[in-house]
Amino acid sequence: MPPNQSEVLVESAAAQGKGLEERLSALNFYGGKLNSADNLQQVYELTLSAMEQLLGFEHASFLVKDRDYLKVVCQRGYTEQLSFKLPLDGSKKGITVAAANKGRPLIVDDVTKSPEYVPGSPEVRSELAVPVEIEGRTVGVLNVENRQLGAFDEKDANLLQILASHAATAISNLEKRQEIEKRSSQLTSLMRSSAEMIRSADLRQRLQRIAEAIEELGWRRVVISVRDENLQIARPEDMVTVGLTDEERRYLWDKRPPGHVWAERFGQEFQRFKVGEFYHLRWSDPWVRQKFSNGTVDSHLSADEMVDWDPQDLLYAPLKLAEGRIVGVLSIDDPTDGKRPTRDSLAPLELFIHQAAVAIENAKLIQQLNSARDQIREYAEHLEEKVKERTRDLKESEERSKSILTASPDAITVTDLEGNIVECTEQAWKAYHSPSREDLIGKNAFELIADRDRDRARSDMEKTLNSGLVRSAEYTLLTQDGHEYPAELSASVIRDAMDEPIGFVAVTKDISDRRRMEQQLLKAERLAAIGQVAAMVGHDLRNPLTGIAGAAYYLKIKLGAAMEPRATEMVELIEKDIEYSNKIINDLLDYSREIRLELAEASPKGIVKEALGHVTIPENVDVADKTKSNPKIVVDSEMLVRAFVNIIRNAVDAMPNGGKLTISSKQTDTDLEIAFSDTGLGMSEEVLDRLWTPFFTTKAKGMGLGLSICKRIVEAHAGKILVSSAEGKGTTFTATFPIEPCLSGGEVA
Amino acid sequence: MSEKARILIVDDDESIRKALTAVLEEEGYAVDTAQSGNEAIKKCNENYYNLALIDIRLPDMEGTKLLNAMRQDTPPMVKIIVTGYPSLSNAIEAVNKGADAYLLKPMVMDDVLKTIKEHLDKQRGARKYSEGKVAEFIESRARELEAEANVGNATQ
Repeated sequence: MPPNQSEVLVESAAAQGKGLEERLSALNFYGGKLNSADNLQQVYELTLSAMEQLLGFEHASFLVKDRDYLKVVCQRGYTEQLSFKLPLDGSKKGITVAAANKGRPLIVDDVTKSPEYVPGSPEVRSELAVPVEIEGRTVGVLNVENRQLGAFDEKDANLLQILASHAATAISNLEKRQEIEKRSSQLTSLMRSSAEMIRSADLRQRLQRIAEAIEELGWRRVVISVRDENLQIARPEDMVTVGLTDEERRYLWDKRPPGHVWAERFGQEFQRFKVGEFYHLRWSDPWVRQKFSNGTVDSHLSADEMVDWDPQDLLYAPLKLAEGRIVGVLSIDDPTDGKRPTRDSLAPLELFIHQAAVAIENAKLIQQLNSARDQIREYAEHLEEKVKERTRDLKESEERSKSILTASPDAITVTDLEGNIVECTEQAWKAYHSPSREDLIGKNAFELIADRDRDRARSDMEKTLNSGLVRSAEYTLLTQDGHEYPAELSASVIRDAMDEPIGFVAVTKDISDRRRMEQQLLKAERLAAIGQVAAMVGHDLRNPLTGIAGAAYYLKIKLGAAMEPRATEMVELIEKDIEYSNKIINDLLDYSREIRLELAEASPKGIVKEALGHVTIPENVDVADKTKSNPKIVVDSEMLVRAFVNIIRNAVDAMPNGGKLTISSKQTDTDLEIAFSDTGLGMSEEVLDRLWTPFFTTKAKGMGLGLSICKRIVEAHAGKILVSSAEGKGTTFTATFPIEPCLSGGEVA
Repeated sequence: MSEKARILIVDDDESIRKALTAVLEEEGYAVDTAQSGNEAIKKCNENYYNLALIDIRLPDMEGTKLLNAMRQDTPPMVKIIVTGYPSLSNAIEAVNKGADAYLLKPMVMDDVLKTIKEHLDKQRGARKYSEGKVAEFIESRARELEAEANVGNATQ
């Protein structure tokens, strides 16, 4: 209280002679008391007590402004409880209302003469009403009544004004304290909510906590919705609400505006509605009314709960991340205090806006993280599967390679760049006559090559390194025990993943057989050439032989009996040699000629008999023909006779000192065997080896074509001829024919 | 038969020609020789031969070709193919081309003489038959003419 005012008061009290000293000290006393009042009721009581001390009156009351009314909150001296309400618009008059509206003390000396007076107690004659104001705002009225006319003067009014200002200060303090307490409780709840929110694992729960926290901060209905990049809500579950009935939830979901509408609501047009982060759309604004004429959910607040909040007001905020991206929307409604929000009142909510936004974003991130983790897990599993599959494939491929290597009839050797053997197949170590694979591994491949071929092999290896491949190089290879054999080698370079050469793989093939065959072929070709020449020569020899024969015959018939016995013998010698020459020519021609079979059914016995007829059997040779007539065979009899003649002649020749020739036939399965056994000299291994070779002969006479021709004839019949012999004991030739003809080799004429 | 049978030897080998000529003349045949196919054809056109010994291989043509090229006389000349290449197909071909017989080189003279004699005998028989036929024809024709003449005389 300003000192000058006090002085005025003191002066006035002294003038009235009403114990001013006492009144001032009472005023001071109560001023102090009021300052430490704990609640409004105390303030009211203390104020009334002070008024009693200061003024003395019959009735006193403390009226408080409640919206558009004044109502009695504390009273003294009335016999009954005052419970009326005076409308502040003056419709029911009242001195207190007038004081409140005018904002200054009102002294009424005679209430009966005041138009404002509302009759109450009949004895009341005068009245004093002083408004209680906080920072120019009337919050109530102090009122006293007296039975005397003109009981109150200006000084009383001044005193009461001072008291009113004390009371106002006290009320203001209490309001502030209340506000602080409210804030404090909000903060407490905020902190608790934050803790709970953080503990809530899933997004819905977290948002629910946030909504509940907002509710605690004084909003009956809260809606938090999670939005996608287009501000759309994906599912009803993405809408978390507090204070909404199921029906309202459904309504909200059904009537949810599309994303672009929300984008607009956060846009330029709505900037003017911003209160901090919030947008407060006041229904009093005609533009808002026009824009939102569709109607919203009815308010849950009763009319008398509304202070300045309009049930149609809209209040929402974007749930925005620091970067500015909107991930959701918070809408709140029905403030419990019925008041329009202020920047201050909304400040604590802003914290939630950010928390909710972060929660939503985190949830999304977590979801992404989870799905990424799932993907990774799935991929890892897939990878594992892949690796398994690949391993299996590799194994299979390895097995395959291995089996290819194993199956290869050729020797395969893998060496390093120096030629040291690092791997080899069974064929390889066996070809070297090694006892085991391990024995060959580690050796240098050049050790396996004959001395004379080594340098060439080395230079071939260099070439391979350059060209990547060498094919069919022929070397003489060595076995461990020094045996040589011809081999063909193909090699290629093995490269690592970086395409660097790391060694060689070589395939070697033993070509001994091929060489032998080549030689045989060469020989056969040579023989064929010889045969052709022989045939030509033979044929040409027939002309001079004919001449000789004719000449000799002429001499024989011309001279006849006149010839000396010696001359006759000579002519006969000529004739005999002509015959022998002719035989040689025939053999040569037979040998060189293509065999053409003229098949017909024949009896084995018949063929043998005819053959025997062609050979002159010496007396010291015994022939036992045990050949059977059956089975009949389909053959070229003339050819077979010629073949058998050769065999029989050989047998006879093999028994210069006599012996026995046994001829027999035997049917086996599909074949017929005809065997010619003699008890002659037999043949050595060496002779047996070369027996079938043309021009091989042990005889002084003959070209050695007999058995060759014999073999050719038998083989032309798809038969075969075998020989077994023991030196000094004899020889057996066995010719085998299929009973049914299945020909090969020869042609059928 | 008073007249000697005429034989033509067709062979490019001189010693064969000479030896055969000596043997056959000794046996009482009239022998002529030709060294080639063309010479043989020429000689056949100029003279008559009862028999020809033809080598299957001649310097200017195959002996089998010569068989067809030589003049066909009546009674037919006996044609014997001589070959150094004995084979059935050879023989069949020779016979199909008109050969009467087939001899192998080197020729065994006994066989040659025997074959020649057989075929000449056959030829002589055939000639006799045809001579008989001609005589019969002439006789019957003469009788016809005679009869005609008689009829003519009668009418005159």
